[in-house]
Amino acid sequence: MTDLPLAANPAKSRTPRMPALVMASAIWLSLMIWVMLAAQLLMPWDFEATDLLGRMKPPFPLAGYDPAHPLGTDQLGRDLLSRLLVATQTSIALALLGTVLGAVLGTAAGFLAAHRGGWVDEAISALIDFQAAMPWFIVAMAVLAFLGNAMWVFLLLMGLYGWERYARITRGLVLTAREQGYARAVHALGAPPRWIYARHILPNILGPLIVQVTINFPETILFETSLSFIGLGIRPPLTSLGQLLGDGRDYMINAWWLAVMPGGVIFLSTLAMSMLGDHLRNRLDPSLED
Amino acid sequence: MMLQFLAIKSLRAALTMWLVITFVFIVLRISGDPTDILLPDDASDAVRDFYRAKWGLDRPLWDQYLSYWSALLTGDFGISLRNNLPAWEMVMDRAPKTLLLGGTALGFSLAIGLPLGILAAWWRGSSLDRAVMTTAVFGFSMPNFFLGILLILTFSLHLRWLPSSGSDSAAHLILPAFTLGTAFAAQLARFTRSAMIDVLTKPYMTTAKSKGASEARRVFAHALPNASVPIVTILGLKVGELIGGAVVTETVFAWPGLGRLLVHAVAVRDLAVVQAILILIAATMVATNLLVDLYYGWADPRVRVGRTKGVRA
Amino acid sequence: MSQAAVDALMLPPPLLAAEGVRLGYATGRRGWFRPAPRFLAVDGVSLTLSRGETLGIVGESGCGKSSLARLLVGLAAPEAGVVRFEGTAMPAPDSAAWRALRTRLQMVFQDTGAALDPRLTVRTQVREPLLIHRQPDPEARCDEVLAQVRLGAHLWDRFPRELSGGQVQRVVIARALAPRPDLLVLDEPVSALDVSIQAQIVNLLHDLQRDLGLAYVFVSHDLGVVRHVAHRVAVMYLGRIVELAPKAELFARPRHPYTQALLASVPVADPARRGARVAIPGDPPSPQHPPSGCRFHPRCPLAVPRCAAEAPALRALGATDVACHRAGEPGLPSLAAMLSGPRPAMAPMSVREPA
Repeated sequence: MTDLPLAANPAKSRTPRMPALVMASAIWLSLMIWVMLAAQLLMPWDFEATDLLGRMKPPFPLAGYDPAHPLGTDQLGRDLLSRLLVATQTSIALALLGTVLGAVLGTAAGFLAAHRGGWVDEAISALIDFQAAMPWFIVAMAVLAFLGNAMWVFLLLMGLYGWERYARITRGLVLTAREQGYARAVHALGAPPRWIYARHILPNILGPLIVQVTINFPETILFETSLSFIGLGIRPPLTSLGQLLGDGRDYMINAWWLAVMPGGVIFLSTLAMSMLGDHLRNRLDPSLED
Repeated sequence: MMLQFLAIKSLRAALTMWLVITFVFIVLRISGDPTDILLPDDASDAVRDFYRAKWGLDRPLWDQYLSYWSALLTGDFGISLRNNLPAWEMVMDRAPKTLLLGGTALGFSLAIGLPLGILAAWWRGSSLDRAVMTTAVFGFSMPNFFLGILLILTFSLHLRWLPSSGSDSAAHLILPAFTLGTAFAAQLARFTRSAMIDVLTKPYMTTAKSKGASEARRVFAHALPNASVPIVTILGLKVGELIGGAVVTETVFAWPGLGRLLVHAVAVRDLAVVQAILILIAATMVATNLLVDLYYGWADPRVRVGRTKGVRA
Repeated sequence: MSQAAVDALMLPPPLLAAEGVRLGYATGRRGWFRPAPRFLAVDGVSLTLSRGETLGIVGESGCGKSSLARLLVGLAAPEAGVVRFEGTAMPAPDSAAWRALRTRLQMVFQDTGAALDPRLTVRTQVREPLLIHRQPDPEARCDEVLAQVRLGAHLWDRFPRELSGGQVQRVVIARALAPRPDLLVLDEPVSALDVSIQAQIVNLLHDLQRDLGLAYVFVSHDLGVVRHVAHRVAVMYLGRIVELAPKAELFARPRHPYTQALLASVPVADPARRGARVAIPGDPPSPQHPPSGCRFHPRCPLAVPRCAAEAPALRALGATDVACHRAGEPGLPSLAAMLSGPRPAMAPMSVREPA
C-alpha cells in the first residue's frame, strides 16, 4: 500500500511547538489585523489635521515631546500615531487584497491549465514563464506610466504580482493529485470534474498553497510600499507606510522618526510574516524549503 | 541533442522578447496618439509629421506594428520629452552606473551568501546554522529603502563617515551596494543552504565519505558542483528582483543610474524613455535566462546527452 | 431465420458483453515525422457476463487484464469493438449518460490504500456516490451498506489511516455498493492483503453476491483466489484471451499450454510437492513488440510452424473456449508433464505481481 500524502496530512500530529520569536510574530500580526480593521477607532487625532505651531514634535521619550502626540508630529504638525495607523491600515489591507487576488487568480489558472491541457496549458505555461522572466516591479512602473496612476491599475498590478507562482504550484500539484487513487476512484463513482477538484483535490493541495501565501504576503507588502515610496503607488490624500516613509525621508536631519517609524512597521510586519511562514512551512511540508 | 536544447531555449527567449515588445506596442496604442506620447509637447509640426509618416499612423495596424519593429531594430525608441535627446542615448548614458551598482551588489551578496549558506548546510542544526538562518530572515524582510535610510542616518548623518548621495567616488558606492546586496545575500544564503542539504543527503555523498575523501574535497568536488545548478537557476530568476531593488536604492541614494531615470520618466510620463528602459531590462532578463540555460546544458549531463525531460528553466 | 437466431432474439441480453474490444496506449512521444509508438494492451477480446455471475480474469502482470477491467466498467472507451451493458453500448466516458450509469456499474481499484481520500472520514466517503447521484436518504443508505460489509460501527467516523488494510477494503466495497449497482469490477481486490484477510474479503464478496444478486468481474494474477470466487475464468496472455472456461473445467482440464503452465506454477503449500513447480522457458515478450501468430508460440514447447504464422481464434472444445491450434489433438502431451523433471536453469514463471 503506497500512501503518499501530497500535502497537509493530519496524520502527522506533531507536538505543537512555538518558539518565542514565532509567538511574538503572531502577536504582532494580530495587532496589525486589528489596526487594519479598526484604525479609525484607535487614532487619537484626525490623520489629516495640521497644526502649524506644533510641527515635528519628537516622540515619547525624547526631550520636548508633547503628551498629546506620543509618536510626535510631522512637518505639518499632523499626529504621527494617527497617520501611522491609517497608513498601516491601507498597506496591510492592500497587501491582503493583492495576495488574495494573486492566489485566487494563480490557483484558478493552474487548475485551468491542468484540467484543459493542450493549447490552454501551453498558453498558460508561456504566460507563467513570461511573468517569471520579467521583473514585475519594472513592468508595474511602466504600466503606471503608460496608463496613469489610477487606483484600479495599481490594484490590478498588485493582484497580478506573484500569480504565476501559485499557478505553477497548482498546476503541478493538480496533475499529480489527479493521478492519486482517491481522485480516480471518485471519478469512477461518476463525479463531475468540478466535484473532484472542489472536494478532493483542492483540500489536499491547500498546504503548499498556504505556504506560498505566507511567502507572497510580505513580498506584496514590499511591492506596495516600494512603489508608494518612489511616489508611484498610494499618493496623498491617501497614505500608506511606503508613502509616509518617502515623505519622512526629506526630514531625516531634523526628524528621523518620521522615516524610521513607518519603516519599522513595514520591517516588523514582513519579518513577522516570514517567521510565521517558516514555522508553518516546517510543520506543513518540510520538503518545500525555499 | 544539445543543439535541439539550445534551439528550444533560444526560441523561448525570442518568444518572451516578442511578447514584451508586442505588449509595449499595444499599451502605447491604447494610451493615445503616439506622437503626443513619444514626442515632446513643444515638438514642431514638421517633427510631428515626420514621425507620423515614419511610424505610418495613417496605415493599417499590422503595418504600423512592422514599422515599430523596424524602428526598434535600428535603435530608434523615440525622443525624450525632457531634453529632446533620443531616448536610447539617454538610457545608454545611465546604464554603466546601474551596471556598476548592480555588479558590486551582486558580487557582495555572492561573497557573503554563498559561503554562509555552505557553512550552514555543512554544520546543519548547529548554532552557526541557526544564527545564519535567523539573520537571513531579518535580511530579506528588511525593505531596502528602509535599510538605506537607516544606513544614511547612521553612517552619513550621525557618524559622518560616508557620503549619502551621488556617485563621485568609490566611497559613494559602499552604502548603496550594501543596501541593494543585503536582501539578495540573505536569500542566496538560504537557498544555497537548502540546495547543499539536498545534495549532502544524497547517497553518493555517503559513498564519497566512505571512500575517505576529505571534508574539503567532499564539499568542493562533490557537493558544490551538484548544488550549483539550482543555485544558478535561482540567481537567474532573482536578477529581476535585483533590478527592481536597484530602482529603489538609486532613489534613496540619488545614484544617477537607470533606476532614477526610470522613476523620473514615469513621474513625468516620459514614455519614450520608459519604453527604452523596459525593453532594455527585458532583453537583459532574457539574456540572463539564456545564460542560465546554457549553464544547465553544460553542467547537467542529462541535458548534454539529450534527455531534456523534467528539466525546465 | 434459424431457430437459434430466433432464440437469440427472445433471450434477454446478457448483463455485460464485450465484442472484439481493443485498447491501445502510446508508449512514447510523438516525433516530428513519426507517430508515437503504441502497443495494444487489449487486442480483440469478446466475453459475456450474466446477472449474479462471477467472471475471473487471470494473467501475468502486463497481460492487459487491468486495461480490460477499465474497458468493461466503461472507464476507457475501446478503440475498436463495443462493450454493452444490458444490450446497450457503453456511453462515452464523462458524458452525462455515462455518469448516470455509474450507479449500475462500480469499480474497486487495485491499491485500495490510495483509493480513499486521506482527509475524509469513512462515512463521508461512503456517502459520496449517493450525494453525487442525488439518491434519496444518503445517511440511512450509508449506514446500511457499512453494516452490510460488516464494518464495526465504531469505525464509521474514523479516517482511512486509522483502519487496517482489510477494513479499508470493506469501506471501498461499501462505497461501491452504496448506489446499488448490478455489477462490480474488482481489480486485484485482495492481492495487497494478508492471506487470512483475503479469505475474509472473499467470503464477504461471496455473501454479498448471494444476498444482492451482484455480478462480479474479478481480476487477479492469483489463480488460487480466482478459484475460490469465480464461476467462469478467462486466461489472458499479451492482450488476448487464450482460454475461457467454467471454473471446474479449467482447473480439471486446462486446454491451453499457457493455462497448463500457469496452473503448474501455482505455489503449493504441501511440502512434499515443493520443488515440483515447473518453469516456462524464456521471458514473457515485451507487449510493445508482440510475437506473430499465436503470441505464446516463442515460449511454447508444443509450437509448430503454423503457430508462428497464424493467430488462433477462440474455438469451443467441450465446455471450454480455447485459442490454440493444437489443443484437442489426440495424444498431445500435457505441458506440465513435459516441463517437470531436471532441466537446464530457467527462471520460474512468476505469477506474482511485482510489489
